[in-house]
Amino acid sequence: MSVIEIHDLTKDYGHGRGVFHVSAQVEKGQCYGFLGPNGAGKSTTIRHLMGFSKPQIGRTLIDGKDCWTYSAELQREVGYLPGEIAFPTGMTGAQFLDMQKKMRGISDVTYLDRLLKRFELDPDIGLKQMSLGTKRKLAVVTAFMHDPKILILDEPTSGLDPIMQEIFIDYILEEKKRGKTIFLSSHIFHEVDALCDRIAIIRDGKIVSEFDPEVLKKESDKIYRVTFEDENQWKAFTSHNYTFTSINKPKLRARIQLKNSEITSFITDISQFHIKDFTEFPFSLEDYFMQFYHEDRKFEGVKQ
Amino acid sequence: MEKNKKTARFFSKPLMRQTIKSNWILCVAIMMIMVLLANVMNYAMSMMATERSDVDVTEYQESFYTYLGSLATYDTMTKQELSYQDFATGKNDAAYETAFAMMNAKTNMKLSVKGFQDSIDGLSQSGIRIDKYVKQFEYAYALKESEGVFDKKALTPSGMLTITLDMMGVSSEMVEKMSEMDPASMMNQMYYTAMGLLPIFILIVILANSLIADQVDRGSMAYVLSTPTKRSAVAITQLVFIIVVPFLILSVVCATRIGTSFLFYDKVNVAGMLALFGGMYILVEAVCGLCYMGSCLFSQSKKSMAFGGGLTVWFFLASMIGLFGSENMVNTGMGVSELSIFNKLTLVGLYDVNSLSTIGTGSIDFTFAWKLLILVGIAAACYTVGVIKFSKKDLPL
Repeated sequence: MSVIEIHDLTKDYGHGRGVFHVSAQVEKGQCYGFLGPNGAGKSTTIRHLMGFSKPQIGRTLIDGKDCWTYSAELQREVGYLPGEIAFPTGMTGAQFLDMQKKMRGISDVTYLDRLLKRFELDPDIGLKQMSLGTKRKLAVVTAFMHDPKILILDEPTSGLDPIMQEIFIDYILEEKKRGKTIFLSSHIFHEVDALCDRIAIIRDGKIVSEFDPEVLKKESDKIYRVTFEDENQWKAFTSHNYTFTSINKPKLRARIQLKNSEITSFITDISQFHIKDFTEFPFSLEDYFMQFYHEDRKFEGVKQ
Repeated sequence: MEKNKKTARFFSKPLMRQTIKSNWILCVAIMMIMVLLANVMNYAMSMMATERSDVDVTEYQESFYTYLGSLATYDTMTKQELSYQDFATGKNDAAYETAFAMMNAKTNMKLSVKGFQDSIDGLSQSGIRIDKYVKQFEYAYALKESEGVFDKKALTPSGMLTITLDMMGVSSEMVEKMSEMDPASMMNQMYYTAMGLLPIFILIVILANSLIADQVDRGSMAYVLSTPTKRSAVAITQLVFIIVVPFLILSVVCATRIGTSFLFYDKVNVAGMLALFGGMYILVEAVCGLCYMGSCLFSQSKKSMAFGGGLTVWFFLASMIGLFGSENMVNTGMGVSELSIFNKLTLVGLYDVNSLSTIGTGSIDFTFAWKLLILVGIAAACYTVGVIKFSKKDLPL
């Protein structure tokens, strides 16, 4: 049984906003990434997982229990990091942590102390006086203080400095090793790339692609840039029947996109030319994501 | 790791502690204002009460004037100078005995020094100085002798006063009503339906909004709901707070007011005062219920504030305008009875101060009961709707 299940989740906020027929499964110990631009429906999905919203169609389950009906009970096993940080006013970080401890009924503070040390957080300042980064750190500590089995993280590293991002990613990787199930949303490619075993790309409330990044890296098209010394050679090469993504005459360059199956023939071909420079562009999630994003743009262009 | 397996279903102690921590300063400040207001009002009313008394002194006044009249006649007859001033020194009782005996023989009356003294004692209950009665007698005595040149009717000081006021454009009828006006009951009405309500109304509008809607709007509610706390527990915890706080504040205000009343008055109607504050609490809870419901219905702080605050301001203003339609105000010429329709357009109108203040007196007017029952109904309905709605709605967290 999957730890987190989303079945045909639909919530229409009108004006095309919301989520539509989103389905996803997260197995135990897996890290699932939800990647999408702002307003694509990432937070809406998480809102349903937390039981803050009731689905119009479909349902969301954690540990086989409905997220709406058992929202309070499920919180014992769930650690939630909100995307927007809004603490109550008029208290210090320490008082806030204390209140959260009481509300969760935690009496053992060793884990909490370890977290505070790890994220270099001194909670003894008023919540209003905290910088954005400190607030984020406090939110991270609050989400993990009860050592939950399941982590739901809404854009977890936004607002953290690069060093803290590093510490955070290390921490999540460690937690993953300890068998935690993680569901995270993000629009930052490298964090999703570093953490997730499975990635879904969401756009306009619909999942447009779901894949395993390792498999994708292996299977995706390779992109090479070839530069020639001689114009005739360049002409001969560009007349081949490959998919050229760009051809640059003054610099005698060509960029070429290849399927895995084409690589052998390509190498045979290229060995017959005099080549000045040959560069492989490594696969990046960003390009893959942008591809969907641009498709969307094109789509809009056609509509107009 | 040790974990508490309990899920808060109906009440959350840590949340209550947090709610108290973040709101107690405001609550205490409002309470101080209310205590101050109540007791200053009480002092002012006690001052008014000593200036004027409700004791009926007409009988004593008549007998006092009879004595003064006979003394005046005696003085002119015997060329003596007996007077109230002289009598009050108490040195010349024998002379008065003689005078009264002589007048009794002449006019078949039963005058005596003791009777004169009784009438003076009785009259002094009115709180108006005896000198003033003597002066008024002087005018009446001087005018009694004469009559109008044209209509041959007797001239009286009150007749002269009426004419003078008419010439000044003041209706003599109004002046009469003004003298019948009951300033204590007017002040009571003003305090209980307007001034005393304002601070606590402000408090409940702010509280109701900050307990639910504001936390949802700002997003800090997410931290409460991401712990094993049911929404119903959040709603009920805040509900308990908003029921208990006005009760505590009004209890303290009521207690201090009863306390100072014992300082300012000889007789205190404790039951009546308890009833008035009890009624006020029910009214406050009804308004509070509406504000709380708004806070639960709307996820935006400004909408909840507009709903709760708007209604409350309307209730307050309508009650103020309605005050100018009340009998007391109309009598003083400061109001028009048509304005009393505003009392029907506000929940404050269901708080019947006049009938509530009859509690603890001989004749109790029970019209307040059904009005308060309506208020209780409104409060209960609003709280229920609020709790259910908050447990069921989508939160934008």
